[in-house]
Amino acid sequence: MSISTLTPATRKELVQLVASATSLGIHRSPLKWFGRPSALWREEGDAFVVAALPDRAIISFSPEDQVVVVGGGMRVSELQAGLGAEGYGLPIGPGVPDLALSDAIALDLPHGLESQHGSWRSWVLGMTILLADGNIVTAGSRAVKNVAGYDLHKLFIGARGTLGVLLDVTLRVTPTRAVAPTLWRPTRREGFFPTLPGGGWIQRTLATDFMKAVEKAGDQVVAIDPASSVFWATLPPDQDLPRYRGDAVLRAHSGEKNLRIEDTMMQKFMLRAKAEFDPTDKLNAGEFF
Amino acid sequence: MTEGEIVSALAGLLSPEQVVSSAASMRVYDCDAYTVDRATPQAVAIPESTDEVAAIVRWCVDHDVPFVARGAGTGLSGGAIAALGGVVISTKRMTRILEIDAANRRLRAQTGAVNRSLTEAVATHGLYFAPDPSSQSVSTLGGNIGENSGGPHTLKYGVTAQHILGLTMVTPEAEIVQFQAGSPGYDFLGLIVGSEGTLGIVTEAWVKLTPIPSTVRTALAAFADVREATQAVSRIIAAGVMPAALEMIDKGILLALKAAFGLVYHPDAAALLLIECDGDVASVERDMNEALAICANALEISVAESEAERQKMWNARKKGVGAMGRLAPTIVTHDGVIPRSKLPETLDFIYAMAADKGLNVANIFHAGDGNLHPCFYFDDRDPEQVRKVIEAGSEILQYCVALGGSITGEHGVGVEKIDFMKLMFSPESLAAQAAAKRIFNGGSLCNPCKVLPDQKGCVEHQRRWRGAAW
Repeated sequence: MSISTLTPATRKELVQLVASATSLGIHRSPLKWFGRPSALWREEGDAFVVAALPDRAIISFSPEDQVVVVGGGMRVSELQAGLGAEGYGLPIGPGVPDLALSDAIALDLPHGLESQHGSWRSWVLGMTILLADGNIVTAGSRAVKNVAGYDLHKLFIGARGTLGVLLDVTLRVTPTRAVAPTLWRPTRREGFFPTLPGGGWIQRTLATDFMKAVEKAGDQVVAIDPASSVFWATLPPDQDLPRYRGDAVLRAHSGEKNLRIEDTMMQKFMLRAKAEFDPTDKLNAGEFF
Repeated sequence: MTEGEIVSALAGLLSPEQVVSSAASMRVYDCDAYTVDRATPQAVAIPESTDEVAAIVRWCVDHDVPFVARGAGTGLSGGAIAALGGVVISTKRMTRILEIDAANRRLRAQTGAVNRSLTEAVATHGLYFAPDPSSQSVSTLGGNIGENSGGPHTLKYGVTAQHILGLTMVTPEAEIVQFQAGSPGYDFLGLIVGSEGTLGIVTEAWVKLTPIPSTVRTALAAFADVREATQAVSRIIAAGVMPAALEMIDKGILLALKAAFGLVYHPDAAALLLIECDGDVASVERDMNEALAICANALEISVAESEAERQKMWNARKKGVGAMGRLAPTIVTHDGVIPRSKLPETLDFIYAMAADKGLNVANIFHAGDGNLHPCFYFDDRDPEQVRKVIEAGSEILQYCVALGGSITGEHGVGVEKIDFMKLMFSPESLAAQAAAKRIFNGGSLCNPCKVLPDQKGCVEHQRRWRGAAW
């Protein structure tokens, strides 16, 4: 059992790495990729891990258009600091651990301003994606409004890296002055971030079920956002909390600890998507399937 | 398969009055609001439920007959035409609002429901459905989902995709599936919204409802010069002001409004800028004051003091396109998008290019989003004018793409812009889009010949139109 960490210095190296991997990974160990290492999304067991993407900075920022192009390996905190200096930011509030941008998007991580400003798919305008076959493709555009063709980039949001590697992302940014106040708050004295890596359960319910759901989750709740009806809890991977009509649950951590997709129709179309984009199951094997 | 066989089979699945096939009726369905390309279906089926849609699709698949969904037919890129004939599945009897859940700010409706009817159904709860395409008094929820429709208030509230919480779809294999926004797994809902009816037929949707803002302020600034207006737009956005709408119309539209409706706003105006801010009183006051300060060089600024005055201001925007019918027999409206800071030079480019070709152009558009709508008005009986208009459209879209923009902001690709997809995307990127399409639609029966170029067995509709014109 060993984890080999790979840090390709350039896009070209990364392309070669992905293109040369096979369904057995590299030397029979799976190929996993993250934008940057973090406690929230980590690999256990045998694997070759691309632990940092080569593009780790703002590629271009046009404040007058409110649009930024960012390397997938840049940390969200670094991006927020860079944008903040110009009076802009991503409206995510405090509820996002400090992941790389590509990881936050790959996990479609809920945040503390969702009801006020929408989720990641509301601001991702485009992407450059490295596909499993080694081709680099673009999706979307740098315009804030675009309906040309299929919204390919949306397939990669929340896909946990199973369909392609997010090299860079084009985002709509929000003027700091227009960011709404958050109702997100940690519920434990020790705070939110120290407790989350213990096992993350994030549940979004209908507003009418929210108080009941939080009450049932009891002491395991570490943060709540009443505006979006989302709560965060620490929960061992083998435990579940009660579910409600129309709710959704995300689990932190990768591989075996991840939530399985149980809906058979959803499974069927996900397998078809995987067969189209990564037919030999090279990328982030073990997630979802 | 003959028309008679199709009609009698569908009548057996539904009831005879739910199937239409007379020659006169077929003419109604041979195009949408993009009238330059036409294709006649063999029959129109008018189902009332998801199960009936699934039964029709199942029959079409079993008999190798193409099918396409159609709402109100207000689409502007030919997305609802039966490009290869077959069956048009009209949602006009699927207009029921099925569930209002005001406590959770959501509503479930059949997709034939008219956009505005959703808002009317929940107005008493202080809520509304935010997407407001100009066609909202007739266009349907299904059409809005298919095209991922925008509208003037997209600037603040986002496009249709941001307001769809869940949907029920009949797949091209006649299965009934449901997807929910924000649930774990791939975002199929995000892929389906805006796919122009090529991934299946969406029959029901949960939509998000938005609280009606407590304060709305609307102002109209008249500029002597177009460039001053476009620069004001760029400066308002760059200043971080977030208006709910920021719309512009130019002199060509003002002339049309005067000719058609006797509407006169300012005699010396070369451009009007409509600014609307909404939200709580304090932020509305702050944003509006800041926006108007940026417009200080305007000839005149008026702020609506009553709902009637506000409506008069919006009439300039909402009636502008209709008024253009007064100027020429044919109007072609383009839909390019550019990064917003490039508005001044882009408008300069459009006017210069039109002048160079001897064409008439008027602009009425979502300035705050950088979503252009240059309208060329001409006589389509003159092949030379048609040729120049097509050439002008192509040059504008190339200009948009070169700036990092898009060939369409809200009207869709349909058959109209299928040739331009290669301008915007590499062969590898188009292949990836084709892979995404195959997740749901690996065949060629569900709304063929739309969105992606080079589909097998498709006559390229635009090429055909050009052939006829030249």
